[in-house]
Amino acid sequence: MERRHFLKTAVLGAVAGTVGLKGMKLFASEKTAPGTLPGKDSIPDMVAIMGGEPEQLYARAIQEMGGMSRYIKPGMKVVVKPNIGWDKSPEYAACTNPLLVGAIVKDCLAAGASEVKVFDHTCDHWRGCYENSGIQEAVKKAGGEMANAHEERYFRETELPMALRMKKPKIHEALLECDAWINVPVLKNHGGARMTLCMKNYMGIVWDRRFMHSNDLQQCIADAATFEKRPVLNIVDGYRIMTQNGPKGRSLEDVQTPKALFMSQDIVAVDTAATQFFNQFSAMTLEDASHILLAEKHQLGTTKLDSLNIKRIRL
Amino acid sequence: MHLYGFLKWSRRIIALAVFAGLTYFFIAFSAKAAGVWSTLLGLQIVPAILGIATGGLVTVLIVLLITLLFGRVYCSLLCPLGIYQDIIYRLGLFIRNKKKRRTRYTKPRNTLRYSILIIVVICVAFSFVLPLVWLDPYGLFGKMAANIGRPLAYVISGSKYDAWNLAAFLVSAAILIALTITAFFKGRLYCNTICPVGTLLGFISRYSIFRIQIDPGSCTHCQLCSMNCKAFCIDAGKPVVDNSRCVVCFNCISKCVKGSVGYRFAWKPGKKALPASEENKPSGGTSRRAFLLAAMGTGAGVVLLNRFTEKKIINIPNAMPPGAGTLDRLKDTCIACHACIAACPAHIIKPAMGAFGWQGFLLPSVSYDNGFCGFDCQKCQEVCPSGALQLMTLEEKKRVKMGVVKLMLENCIVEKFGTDCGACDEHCPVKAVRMTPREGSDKLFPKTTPALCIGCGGCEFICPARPKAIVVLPLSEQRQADEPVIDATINIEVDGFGF
Repeated sequence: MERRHFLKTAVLGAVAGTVGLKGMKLFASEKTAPGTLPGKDSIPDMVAIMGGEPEQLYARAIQEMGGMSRYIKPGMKVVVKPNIGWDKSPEYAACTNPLLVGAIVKDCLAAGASEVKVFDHTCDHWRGCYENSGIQEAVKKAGGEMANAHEERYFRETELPMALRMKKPKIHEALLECDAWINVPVLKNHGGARMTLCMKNYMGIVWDRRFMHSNDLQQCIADAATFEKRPVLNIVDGYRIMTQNGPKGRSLEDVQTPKALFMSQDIVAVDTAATQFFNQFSAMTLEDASHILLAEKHQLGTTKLDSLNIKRIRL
Repeated sequence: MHLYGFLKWSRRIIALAVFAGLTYFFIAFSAKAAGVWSTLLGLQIVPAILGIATGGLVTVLIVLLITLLFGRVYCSLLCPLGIYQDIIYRLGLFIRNKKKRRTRYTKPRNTLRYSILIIVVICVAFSFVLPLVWLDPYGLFGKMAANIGRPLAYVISGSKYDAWNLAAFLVSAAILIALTITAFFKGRLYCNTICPVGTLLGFISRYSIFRIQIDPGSCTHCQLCSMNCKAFCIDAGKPVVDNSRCVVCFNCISKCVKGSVGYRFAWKPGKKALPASEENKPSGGTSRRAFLLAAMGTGAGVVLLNRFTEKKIINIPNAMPPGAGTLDRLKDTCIACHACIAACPAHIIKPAMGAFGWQGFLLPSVSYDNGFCGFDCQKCQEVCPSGALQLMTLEEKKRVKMGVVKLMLENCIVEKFGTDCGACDEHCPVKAVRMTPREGSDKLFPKTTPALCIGCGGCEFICPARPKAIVVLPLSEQRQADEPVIDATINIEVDGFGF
C-alpha cells in the first residue's frame, strides 16, 4: 500500500510538473485537468481563489491542496467546525455558507471518514442558529451529523500548556474525541476581536466565552489556537463577507459578495491573508486584529505571506 | 346502543388526543408545530373570553353554541383539567373495591358555585382577572404542566432547565395533589362546585337542545347509571339527571340495561322544559337570593378593594414578554397559563415572584440570567391564547421595547483592563450598543443609543464584567424603539486578493 501510494504520488507529481504547476505565483488561469491531483512538491502552502460558487471554489481549492484524502484517512472520526454563531439566514453572511459546509462534509465522507460531526457553541439560541443558517440541513443531506454544544456537559476541561491567559478551558468533547478536524469560519469584521476568522472560530469550541472576553480577548483567542489538535485544514469562507456591524450584522447592507475562499494548513497565514483581503473593503491591520500577531508569537504560523508558496486562482 | 358506544369511544379518543397534545405542548414544545399548538390553545374558552377583542370571539361563540346544542361536551372533550380528572377517576375505579360502589348522587352546591361564578364575572367585567388565574381550569393545567411536567422531562433527558422555579413548582404541586385526591374519590367535584367555566356552561346546559334523560316509565331505579356517573349528577331514585352538572360522557347510557337512559332532543320553549329537580328550580327561597346578592357584593367589593389598593408600578425589576403592552394590560388579560414559558426557546420567560406586585404572582416575567430574547423569535406571542402577549408582525416585534439599555462604563472590561471585549456589541441586533473608537486609544469602547434599544437583554446576558457593565432596565410600559438607521448600500468590487 505504501509503495503504491508513493508511486501514485510520484506519477501525479511528474504529470503536474510537466504541465507547469510548480512554483507558480502568477494568477493561474490554466486549469488543472479535472480529477488530477498535484504532486507532493507542488502543493502550495495556501490557495486563494475567487470568482465562483461556494462548491466550485472549494472543489478547485481542495484539488490544488492535493485532495481531501491527503488530510482525511479512511476510518477517521472527523469534525468540521463552521461558524454557526447567529440565528441568521445565509445571505446575511453571519454564519459559514451552508453549501461550503455541506461540500466539505461530503468530501470527508468520500475520503473514508467514519463519521463527520459538525457543531458550534452558538451565541444566539442554538436551535435557531443550526436551522436558519441552513447548516443543519446541508450537513444532514451530506451525510454528516450535528452535535449539540449548548450545554456545559458537552465540554471537558483541557490543558493548554502553551497558553498565557487561558490555560484550562473546557473544550467540546467531539473535538477531543475526533481524529482530525477542519476549521471553516466565515470572513467577518468583529466589534471586539476586530476580525473573526480561523482563530476566532475557536471560541465556538470553548464553553466559557465570558472568560475569554474578560481576560484579554486577543490573547485568549491566540491561546485557544494552541490547542494541540490542530485543524488539518483551515478554510475561510469569503463567498459572502460581513464588512461592518459584525459579527452579527444588522442588514444586507453589511454584506459584500466577493465570492472568495482561502485554504491553508497554516492558520496564522490564512488569517493574515483573509485580513489583508478584507482590508480592501474596510481598513484593517494585523495590529488591530492582534490575536493573529500573538498567535505568530506562539509559533502557530507565519504572517509573512511572501515567504509562502501561495496559489492565487481566479475562476 | 351502537350509536352511544360510538359516541362514548369518540369522546374518549378525542379527549385523550387533546390531553396528550396539550401535555406534549407544555412539556416538550417544538417550535416547528407552533401553528398546531396555537390552534389547540385557541380553543380554550377562558383565554378566548379574555381575548375576545383579539380573535377569541369565534371560539367563544362556537363553545356557547355547542353547549346550547349538546350540553357540556366542552368539559369532556376540550378541557385538559376535566380530562385529567376523568383519567384519575377512571384509574380510581380500577383500584377501588368494586363492591363498595354504591349510588353516587350528591346534591348540587348551587349557592357556592353560582356565587363563585358571579364574583368571577363581576371581577372580569371590571378587568380584574386574578380570580381566573387561580380558578380557570386550563390555566391551572398549564401551570401544573409547565412547572412540574416540564422540569421533570428535562431532568429525565439530562438537560438543564433554566426556567425552573421552586415556588411555582410547589404551588402547582399543591394544586395537583388536591385535584388528584378529589378526582380520585369524587370525580368531577371541582368542575361542579368551583370551576366558573363548569358553572357557566352548566347553566347553559340546562337549556341545551340535546340532553341526557331517563325515561321514568321503563326505569327500574337499579342505580347502575348513577353508580357510573363521574359527575355524581344522576338521582336514579326519581329518576332524573341534573343536566347542569352532566358533562355528557355517555357512560350512563351504555350501562343502562333497560335502555331507559338516552341522549334525546329535549328542547321545548319556555321554562317548563326544566327538569323537575328540586335543586334546579329557578325560584329559590329568600336565603338563596340573599346569597347571590352577597356574592355580587363580594365581587364588587373585591374589584373596589383592588382598585384602591393597587399602586401604579413604574419601575419593575423584571421585564414583561414582548407584546404585553403595559403591566396593567398584562394583569387584565393574562391567566398565567404559562404557555409562553413553555414556548420560549431561550427559557427567559419565568413565573414572576414579586416583580409585578402580589396580583402579578406567577405572571410571565423575563429575566436575562440564562439567555436573551431572540430577535427573530415571537413564539410566546404565537402561542398566547388570550392575546395578553399581542401577536404582531415580526417586523413590529423587532421594535417592541421591553426595556432600555443602561451602560456603566466604569465596570467595562475595556475601560478597566484596556483589553478588547465587545461582547455587547456582538450580541446587539439593532446596534443600540456599538464599539466605538476613542481618541488617544487604539481600543474600541461601547457606546449606547438607548432610543434604538429593544431591551432584548443580549448585552446584559453576555457582558463578562462583574458587576455587569451593561444592563437592561425593564419598562412597565412597552414602547416602539426607533427604527434603526441603515447604512447606505455600497457595493465594493475588488480585483485582487490584497496580498
